[in-house]
Amino acid sequence: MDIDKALKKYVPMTETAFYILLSLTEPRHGYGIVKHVNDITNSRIVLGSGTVYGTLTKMQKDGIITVFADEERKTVYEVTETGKKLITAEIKRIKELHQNALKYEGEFL
Amino acid sequence: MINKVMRPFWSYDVQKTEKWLTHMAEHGYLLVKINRVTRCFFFQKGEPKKLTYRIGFDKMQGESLSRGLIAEGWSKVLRTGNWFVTSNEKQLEQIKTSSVREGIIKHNRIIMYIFGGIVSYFTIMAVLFLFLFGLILFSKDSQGEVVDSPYWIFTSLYFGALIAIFILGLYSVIKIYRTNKKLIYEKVNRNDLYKKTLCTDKFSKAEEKQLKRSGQLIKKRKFGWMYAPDKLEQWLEKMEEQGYNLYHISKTGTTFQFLNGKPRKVSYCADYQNIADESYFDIHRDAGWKSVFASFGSLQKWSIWSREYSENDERPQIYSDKSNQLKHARKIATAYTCLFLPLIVVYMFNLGLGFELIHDNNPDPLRIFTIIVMFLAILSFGSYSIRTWMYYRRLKKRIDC
Repeated sequence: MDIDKALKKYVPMTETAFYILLSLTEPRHGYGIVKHVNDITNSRIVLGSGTVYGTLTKMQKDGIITVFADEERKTVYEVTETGKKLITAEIKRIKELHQNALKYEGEFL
Repeated sequence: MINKVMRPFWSYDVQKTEKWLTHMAEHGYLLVKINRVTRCFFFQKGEPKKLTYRIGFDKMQGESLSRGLIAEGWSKVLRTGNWFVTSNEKQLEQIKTSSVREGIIKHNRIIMYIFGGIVSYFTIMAVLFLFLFGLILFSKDSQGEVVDSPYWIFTSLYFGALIAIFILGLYSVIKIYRTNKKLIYEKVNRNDLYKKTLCTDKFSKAEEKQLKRSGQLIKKRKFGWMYAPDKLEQWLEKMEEQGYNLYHISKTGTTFQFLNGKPRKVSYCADYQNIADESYFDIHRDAGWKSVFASFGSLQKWSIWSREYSENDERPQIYSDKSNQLKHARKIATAYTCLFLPLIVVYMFNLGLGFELIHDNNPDPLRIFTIIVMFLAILSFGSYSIRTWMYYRRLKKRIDC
């Protein structure tokens, strides 16, 4: 899938998809992603393994991530170039969101 | 200089092909091209080299390999269709990462099912043919005699082709079945720990009999739970709460055995995956789920997962995302509707025809019997489809409120 199609399909991302892709700063196992997301959100998000597996399979089909086998023949997930472009675009969108949130936050207090 | 070698069944046993490629490289023949139509490998003569080869299959492969593989010394030799070949100058034992086998296993499995279908069709036709042939041959008033004709050559050619296809199909099924087992075992080999943990709490046959007699082990049958998996989960959880601990589910998924034990809080999740691979089992096991049932050998795959939790904790689920879970339910309902709807339509059509014939003629008992059977088939297939959609609606209601 080329980047334009990927952007159309994935942006805006669900919180689940965003955190799964964001945790691929380095190649990780499926359960490694669950643990990492748990850590960086201070246990606010506890991802179910079925949800993670489903999302990863879909992302792999769309060429956003790729896989290889490690020493124990376990599947490791890695972000592709398309995936990198996608998460960068999504981060840009969320930054705008964040800036506007800060800017107008006071009006509601 | 380019050398050409034909290897018609290279993709059936990739491990063997990989070893053969390494062997060729040792003699200075380096792989440059594969033609998948003519099944030919092309080699360039050069310096002898020690190379490790690895074949992969991936529908979504980029131009370059993943960084995890490049860092380990792998490079892409060639790509042809969805297949690709990578090579590494390191020895196999020193290499840590490699491309996955799942793509090949899945692809070859589909080929195996196609050939399996052809083989079983031919077998049935052959048995029927021989049966009819025998019937004619041995009946007393048979007048058959073989007439000489130059066209017999076509008949024999035709049968020769059929036999050739049959043998090719049989060979493919057996070969792929064996290789896929090896490829899956390649992985399981290293973490057979899981298998051991599964087997430890199993009793011997004699002990089981003893337990059954004393009423400690109870057997319950449950059919058609696939059409309402949430009901099955609730039932299993209730049994656990009452102190009936799930001991074993039969291979067909219809017989459930329970041990009379302590009341426990256990979460059960029934999951449906079209073709699940090994990484599917890895992620759930790593997350602390125990696989209590997995249906093997068919294109559709059900698995049941269990996980004990304490009184104060929330019930763990494999689907944390609600929309994700709903999609999963819709997948189940759609799959079963696609399976049953054509059958229902065909039976309905037949039923209409049957009624018309009865209207015209006197009803004979056999015809009435067929009509009743067809009517029951429509009713049960229809109820299965409706039950899956009711399951979808139940889930939707629960999520919405």
